[in-house]
Amino acid sequence: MNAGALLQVNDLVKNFGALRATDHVTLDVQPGEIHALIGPNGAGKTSLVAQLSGHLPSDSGQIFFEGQDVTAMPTHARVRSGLARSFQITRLFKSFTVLDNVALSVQARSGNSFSFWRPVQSEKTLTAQAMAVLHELGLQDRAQDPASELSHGEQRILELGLAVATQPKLLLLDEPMAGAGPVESERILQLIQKLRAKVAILLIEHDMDAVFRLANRISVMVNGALIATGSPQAIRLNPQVVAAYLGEEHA
Amino acid sequence: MTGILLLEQALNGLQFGLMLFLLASGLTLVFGIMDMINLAHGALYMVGAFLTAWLVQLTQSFWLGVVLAVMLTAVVGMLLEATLLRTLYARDHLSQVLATFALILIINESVRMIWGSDLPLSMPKALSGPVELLPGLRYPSYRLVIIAVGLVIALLLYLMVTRTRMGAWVRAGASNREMAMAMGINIRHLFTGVFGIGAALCAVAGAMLGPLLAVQVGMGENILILAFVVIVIGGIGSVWGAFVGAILVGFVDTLGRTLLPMLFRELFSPQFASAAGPAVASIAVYLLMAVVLFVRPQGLFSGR
Amino acid sequence: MNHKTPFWVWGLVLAGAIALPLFLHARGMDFYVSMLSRMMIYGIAACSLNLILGYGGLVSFGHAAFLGIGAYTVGILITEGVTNGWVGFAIAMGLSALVAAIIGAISLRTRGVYFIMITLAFAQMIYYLVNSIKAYGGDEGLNIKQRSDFGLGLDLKNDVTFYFVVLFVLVLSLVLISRIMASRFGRVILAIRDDDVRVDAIGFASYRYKWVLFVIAGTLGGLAGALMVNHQNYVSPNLMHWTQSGILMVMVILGGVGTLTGGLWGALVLLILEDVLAEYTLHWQFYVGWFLLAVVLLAPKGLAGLIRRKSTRKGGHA
Repeated sequence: MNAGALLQVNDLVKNFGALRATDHVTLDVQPGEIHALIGPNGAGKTSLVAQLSGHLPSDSGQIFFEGQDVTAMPTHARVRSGLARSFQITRLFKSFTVLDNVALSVQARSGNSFSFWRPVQSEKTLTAQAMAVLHELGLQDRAQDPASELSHGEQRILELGLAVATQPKLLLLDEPMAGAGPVESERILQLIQKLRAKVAILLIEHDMDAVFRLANRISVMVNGALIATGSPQAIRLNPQVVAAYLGEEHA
Repeated sequence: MTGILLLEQALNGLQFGLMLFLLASGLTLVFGIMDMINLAHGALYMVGAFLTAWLVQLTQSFWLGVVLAVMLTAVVGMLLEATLLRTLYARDHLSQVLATFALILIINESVRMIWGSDLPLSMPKALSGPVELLPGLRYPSYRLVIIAVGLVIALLLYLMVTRTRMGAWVRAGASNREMAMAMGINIRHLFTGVFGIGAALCAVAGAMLGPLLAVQVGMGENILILAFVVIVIGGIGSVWGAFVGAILVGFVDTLGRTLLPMLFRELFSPQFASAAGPAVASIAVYLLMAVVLFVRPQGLFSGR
Repeated sequence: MNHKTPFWVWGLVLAGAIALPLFLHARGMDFYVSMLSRMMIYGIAACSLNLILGYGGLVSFGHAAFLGIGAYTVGILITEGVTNGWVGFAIAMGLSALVAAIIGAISLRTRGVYFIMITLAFAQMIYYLVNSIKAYGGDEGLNIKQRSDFGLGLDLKNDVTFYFVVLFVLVLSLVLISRIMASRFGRVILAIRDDDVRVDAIGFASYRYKWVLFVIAGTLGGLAGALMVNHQNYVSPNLMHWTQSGILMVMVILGGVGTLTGGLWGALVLLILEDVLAEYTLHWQFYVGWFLLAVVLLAPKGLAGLIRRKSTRKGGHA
């Protein structure tokens, strides 16, 4: 148990029948750090994130957030505590405008939403805060467009924005740049840089350049188990890691 | 005395359950493989019953009438699939509900226009008498035949699904349609075939139950609900689940209607018992479904 | 209100709705006034279903149960001598809310087709239970000797008076639904329709919102039922048969899922179609069936989708 860790994962196990997706995983994320999680496809990274966010129940092990045991806590409660997630496959509110997508995230953390009479569009504060987030994301010009009309790259940015707008203490980012073109990928990278120190991040990513640029620490996952954790330099030189993963990926 | 009654009701439950299985198996395959809610499935059951009644009158032979009716219904089913239902596979469940609901109206009225609201259908004379199974237990031979037919078809279905190539395709399609297509299985023909078999099974059930339950317009709606309950309990897409579910539902419904009022009379005051007994008996099946869904939301044998 | 349709159009429609019964009454055509009342009542019922079906994306196949509960509550109360409309309607709506709360609490734990099935099962349970209550008619139904008494000098037996009462409730319901869907709560509901997993992931307990919506819809359905038993002076368990739930769904889908007045238009069109066709042929259901089929195949967004032009939906307000 690492004292002071924002997120502490202890001995997490998840089986899908005969397949061990999460094999006694123990890791931690320190406040303010960017902790990258890399590994070959199918290594179980997304399953791990799903357990951390509360979308998938674990078979055994514990998850602590800010010292509190959240292993059995439902997703929405974890988000309220400050543990938010973005998705590898974009999940936006397609029938909403870009602005309203973000405004919903803002609404989630501002006050009671069991309000039935007052039109939500009249809440200037919500709209203003949402626009501020859009400015950060660089999407302010697309505010009134339906989210479904964004390009794939812009959708990935918005995807990230939805999680950020909940003002989390820790972000679980599942391949935020997946499918985004070079311009959008760079923008996402910049956004993550800006978040550094304010928000702790557990980052799953395949783009090795991005990983080595951003990460304070890197953990490597193969077949559901963590085989190494350390600084980027240490990981680069670790023979096990090179053999299992970096060798193929660094093409 | 009560033992005989129990046995008799159990046999009735088995008989009803087997017929439910015929309906449910087609329904679960269509739902499992094509992901389509087909409310008109009960209408095919009705069409099968009406065709049987009509053809039996024409041919003056019960079994010939049944066989012809089953074949005709299968053809009707396949035509329906190839023309209309095929366009619904890609649509959302709501559209499927609306379209197949419309189909019920059309088919019901068409039958009414052709034959009127009901047709007489009686069981073959040779089978109208009882058989003494055990000392004191006389059971209608017709119902025994239904049980036999049901079991034989269940066995044939089992063999088909597990031993034949078509069965393998069906199982593949049920678990992963895209993969099945990628492996070169002609999905369109498979779907039409599955639907045709489903329709034929409906017709058998309609033909067999016709003499017992009366052949009339609207007979499909009542039994359709039970068929849906069966596949939800058994697990969508699973033929074995449909079998277990159907037998369960058959037993619970039949035995419930006889035993629960009796039980209530033993335990409660006569007024309460006479009101509550039949009421609880009629909802027993739905209570069963609610319990199953609570404990195992995807059904007992879901492949998903 | 729907931001695309300007206020003056609604004003015109309302003016027409007020003038029509007076016009018909002057011509001695009270029968048609009564018919219109019936259509509006179904409109209220369909709009209540539209809340969970259209806006919530929850395909509930047991909504007719709430109509039945509302209708039977008022019917039984009147039979037992409690004719005060305020009391009767309040209890009817309260009971509907309670039953909706229970059914919702259990059903909303399931998804997709299982949700459809379990709502259906509950509705069937209620249908059979009511069917077995011989004291209040059983399967033959319950006749009531008089209509609800609301005081205020309103005689509900008068077709025109009854029409205006129903119109009032309809307008109130639409205003209520409109405000709810434009509120914070409504935005969460619309988001749930798009992706309820994501809604959880930004910090809303989506289950609770679905549940509240379900209770509201059930309550409104109960209100429609209370009006219905008054209109027919009769209620039977058939009101709760699953095919009735199907008809309500058809009305919602026909009029346009997720639009404010879709349910109303769907109810009007379907019932007018039924009445007109029934004049000409015994087999009117045949033609209605083909009509519905045509709508599904040719107008996927319902009739409202045919009329409405494609435009950006601002504020997530469909």
